[in-house]
Amino acid sequence: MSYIKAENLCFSYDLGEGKKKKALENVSFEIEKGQYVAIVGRNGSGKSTLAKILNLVLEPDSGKLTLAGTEINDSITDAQLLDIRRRVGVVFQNPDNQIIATVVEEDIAFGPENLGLPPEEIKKRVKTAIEAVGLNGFERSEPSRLSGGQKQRVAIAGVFAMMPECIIFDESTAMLDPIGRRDIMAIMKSLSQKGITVINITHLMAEAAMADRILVLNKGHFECSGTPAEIFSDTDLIKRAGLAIPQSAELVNELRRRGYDVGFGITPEECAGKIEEYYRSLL
Amino acid sequence: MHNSITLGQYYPVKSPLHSLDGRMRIFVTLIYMIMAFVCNSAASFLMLALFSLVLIFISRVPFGVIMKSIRAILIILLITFIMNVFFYTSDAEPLFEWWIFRLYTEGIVKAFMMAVRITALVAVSCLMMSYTATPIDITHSIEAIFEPIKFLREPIHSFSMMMFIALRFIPTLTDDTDRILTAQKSRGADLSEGSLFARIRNLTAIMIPLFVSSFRRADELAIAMECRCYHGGEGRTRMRTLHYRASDFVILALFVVYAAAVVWLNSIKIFGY
Ligand SMILES: Nc1ncnc2c1ncn2[C@@H]1O[C@H](COP(=O)(O)OP(=O)(O)O)[C@@H](O)[C@H]1O
Ligand SMILES: [Mg+2]
Repeated sequence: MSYIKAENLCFSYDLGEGKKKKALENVSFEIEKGQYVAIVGRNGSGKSTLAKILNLVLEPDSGKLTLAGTEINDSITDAQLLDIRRRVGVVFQNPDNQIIATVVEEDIAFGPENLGLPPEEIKKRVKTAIEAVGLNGFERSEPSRLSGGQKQRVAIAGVFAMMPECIIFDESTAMLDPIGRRDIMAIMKSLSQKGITVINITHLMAEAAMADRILVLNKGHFECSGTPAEIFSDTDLIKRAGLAIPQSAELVNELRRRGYDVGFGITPEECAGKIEEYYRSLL
Repeated sequence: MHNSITLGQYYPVKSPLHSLDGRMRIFVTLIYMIMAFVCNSAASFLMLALFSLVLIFISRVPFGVIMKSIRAILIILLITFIMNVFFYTSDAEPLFEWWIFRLYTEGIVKAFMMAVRITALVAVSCLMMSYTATPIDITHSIEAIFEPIKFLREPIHSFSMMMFIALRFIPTLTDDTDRILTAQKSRGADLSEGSLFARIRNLTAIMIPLFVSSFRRADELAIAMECRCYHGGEGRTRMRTLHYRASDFVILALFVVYAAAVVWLNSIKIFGY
């Protein structure tokens, strides 16, 4: 059975005076436990709304959602709600608005403290979380004095300390410089290797390419899902969803369309390799 | 950027004042404050000043850092000093007389004492409550003090969480203000010239974006807290447990000696003050 199962999720924001803004319409997909998934879509396509629904911060207007074997409906208890929020953590875009404490280790402890764990257990988890994101030596630092990438690592550690089964990154690299972005991507990879289900919400195709599977959202609709190779080999699909396809991927797609069987590729290095291989095979 | 704001800033060094138990911290600070108001002789004010310096020395927080918090109240200090000097009336012979002004030696001495009292209070409360303790320490201790009173537990928790977040956001909002100020200035908003009325009206160009950004931050923070399973104080535990150490009692003894000294010195007059 899949870990996350969404069937026909609909959600609209209430704008007051009876006006509503549709954010999601009939979205259905499944995510397996331990998978590394990217959700892509242009601005306003409903990605953040979906993240908040998966974390039970927002409640869908209609549709069926099953998380970790529990069907989410009106009859779930507060204890179940907390349990699901513990299992499914979210790292948001702006680290300044999700770091609660003024000392790194106290912020990381915030989640475990809310779970009512004994102090010794909290300390152990904080230590493990700090090691997992490579913030050793910054335990007593003030988050506001850290770099963007370091702040975002504090936020990840805060979620990690709750021992989640799934972590959703909602454009968590959008405010970072290339180095910070690379660090966070590396952490996502290592979390995935630890068996955590990683969902990376992004509009950067280079990031999406690192996932096992990509879900494409377009204007609140679920467009399609597939492996990076499947998604990137369809230039039309990506353009229709309003996303920028890497030029290298577009090049191999175009070559293939014209009858040169070069295969699939995303990064420039990969595509260059494919083209070289094809060229040699012709000789 | 936010270095100019020193209110609510932890100074990370190790000292007996940094490791002081939060409940003891609140208790001794109260003793200090009460005694600062009890002081009424020159000798006891000297004691107050001396003891404040001793505390700063123990805390290992550089004097310059403390001076920053005093610089922030310099205007208030000056105004109270002047008011105290000029509005003091007495039947005694004035020291100096000109037009409607009459200055008395006693008035000057009293004003001076008041200045010492305010300076000491600000310096030491900043020292005890922010340079040597994080907001989490303080709020946690306030909660611990009210813990036995069941019906107060939840409101105190909410209140201290609110205070804590307010303190936590001071540097962030200062940065926001700087950013908005620069942005509005670069669009030609003139905030330093014109009549008082014009300047106040121009201030809305700062205040409105600042409010909007604060509300957005508050909204995002609330969601982030919910995502991390925050559900009020009920069933919540703390990573750091409070416990008294031997050094805490040494500090307490120090404050008790100070309190006794103030009471005793109040009865000793130097040159009649
Ligand atoms: N709090 C809100 N109130 C009203 N409308 C909102 C709110 N948040 C998002 N929306 C709208 O819902 C749609 C989806 O938004 P969002 O999920 O944030 O998209 P994304 O994260 O993909 O950029 C957008 O059209 C947006 O304007
Ligand atoms: Mg978004």
